[in-house]
This record gives sequence, structure tokens and C-alpha cells, in this order.
Amino acid sequence: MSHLAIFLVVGALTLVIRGWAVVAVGLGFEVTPAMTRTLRLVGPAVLSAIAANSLFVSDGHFSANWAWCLAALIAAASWLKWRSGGISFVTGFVAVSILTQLM
Amino acid sequence: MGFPASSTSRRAAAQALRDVIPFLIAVVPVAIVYGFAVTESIVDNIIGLSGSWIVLGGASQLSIIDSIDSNASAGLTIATATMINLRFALYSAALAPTYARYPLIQRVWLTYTLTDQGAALVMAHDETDPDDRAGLAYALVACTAITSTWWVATILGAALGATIPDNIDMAFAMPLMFIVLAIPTLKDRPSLVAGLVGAGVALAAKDLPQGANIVIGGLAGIMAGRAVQIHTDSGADPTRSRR
Repeated sequence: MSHLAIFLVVGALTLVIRGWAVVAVGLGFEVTPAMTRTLRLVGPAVLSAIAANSLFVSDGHFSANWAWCLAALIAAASWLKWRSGGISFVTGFVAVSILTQLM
Repeated sequence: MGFPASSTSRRAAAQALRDVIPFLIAVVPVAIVYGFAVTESIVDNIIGLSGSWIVLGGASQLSIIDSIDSNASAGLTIATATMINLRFALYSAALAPTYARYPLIQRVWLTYTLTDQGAALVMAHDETDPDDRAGLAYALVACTAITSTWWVATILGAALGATIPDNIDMAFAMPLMFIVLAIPTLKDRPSLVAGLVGAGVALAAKDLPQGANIVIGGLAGIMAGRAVQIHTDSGADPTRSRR
């Protein structure tokens, strides 16, 4: 299979994944208040899972990069202090650059 | 037919532009990393960069490039990338009741441009302002800004990647982006439990095929958070009477 075909297949499947619930609700499927409350947990659960996986796992193995871990903590603390994603991101990058040179 | 433009829509669009800027700052480095990865890969540059509009998912795009470079089979490459993107199904379900109230063309566009950052912004706005006109304007501006920035920045990454100084650890952009996205969502006990369980289970299930641990961790986190909600609603939570 060509590389373009791989991208096209993944793109088509991803579009189906993105659209399934929008289509279902458009066809009359009802989302109850309990489902809505449950779905509000999607963000914290999935984003935390991705964050932890990208921070601690590399090629299926635990890989604790302490500079990354410390910089992540600093970025998190920065968000708690300033409530700004941009500031947290820049802080995290500056921290990891300094820590990588020190450690 | 779309909703007519109104001061409500304009205000929401302006708010979306303000809200989306920190996310754009976070998206650009990841997009540059992807663009740079394409130029270092065996994948043709045009095809690799086209992935940004064909797939429109940073983590899965990086996974496709990585799998191809590792000589993984096409089936495994597709399965891995699709598993990573399964989280969009959950966002789709979360936003479907809101999007169902919008006109078809806008609904199709918002479905295509559904990203982690866009979903987080639109969900947060939807909770504070249920007005349909405002919601549509907000979603269109936020999601379009994120998507178009991703497209442009991946091309920039391919063009400028070689000039990035060695002491800037671009690989850190991916975890950092998701950390910055996740922390604001941890705003009460159920969401905190959902986040901790999601992260813990994803790490515990790290040996599963790439991407599957994220889906399982996410589902486990949702179930744990829901259990806390039910426990709190039932009155069994001893702290409930104090709230």
C-alpha cells in the first residue's frame, strides 16, 4: 500500500470517528443529562492519558526523562499561577531547555 | 442556512480569537516538529505534509511517519494511527448535541476540524454560554484558527526545521501540549479522578499495541469519574452536605 493510501485510509477512518455522534444525534439519537455529565469527563480522562503516555512511555517502555518531568511540573505550576496556556507552554519550553543542559 | 450575523456572534468570535491564541502558541511547535519529521522521513514531503489536511491529528500523523520509517506493515500503521484518533469519538459524542443545532455546512466543517484543542475550547464555551449564535461563531473561529495554523505551521516546520537550534528540545512539545490542555479540565473531584485514573491505566497498559493504552486509559478514567459523580449524587459522600 502506498504512503498516500495509508494517509487517505487513516483520514477517512478519522472522519468517521469524528462524525459518528454528530450524525447519530442528527438522526434523532437523544443524549441524556447523565450522558452529558459523563461526556464532560472525556477531556480530563483522555488528555491526561495522552499526556502521561507521551511523558513517561517511549517505544512501549517506561522512559523517565527527569528534565521533561521537572519541566512538566513547572509548566503545570505556571498554569495554576497564571491560568494561561501560552505562558505555561513557553515556561515549559524554557524550563526544559535549561534543565536539559544542567542534567 | 446559517444564523444571521449579530453582535452576539461578533462578540463570541472575538472571544474565540482571544481564547485560541494560547492554544495556537502550543500548536505551532508541535506542527513544526511534524513538518521537520516529514523532511527527515522516507515519506515524500508532499504526501507527508498532505497528512495535515487528510488526517488532521498531530499524534496520529507523527505515528504514521514513525511507523513507515520503522518498516511497519500498512495494516499496523493504519490501526495504530486510528486507535490514537479514537479519542475524537468521545469528543464527537460530547459535542454532538451542540453541533446538531447548527446548519449542515457548518456542522460538516466543525466535524472535520474537531481537534483536542478545539474540542476543549468549544466544550468550555458551551458550558458558560448556551446561546446558539454565539456558540456557532465561537466554534467556527476557534476550530478554523487551530486547523489553519496547523496546516501553515507544518509547512513552516518542513521549510525551517533544519534551522532549529539543537538546544531546543522540540520532542518535548507533544507531552507539554497535552499537559497544558489537560490541567484546566481537572476542575472538580470527578474530573480529577478521571484524569488520575486515565493517566494511571494508560501507563499500566503501556505494553498494549501503541495507542490502545490511551483508549483504555481514557475509558477507565471516564468510568472512574462517573462512579465518583454517582457516589456524590447518591449522598453517600460525607463532604456533600458541606457544599
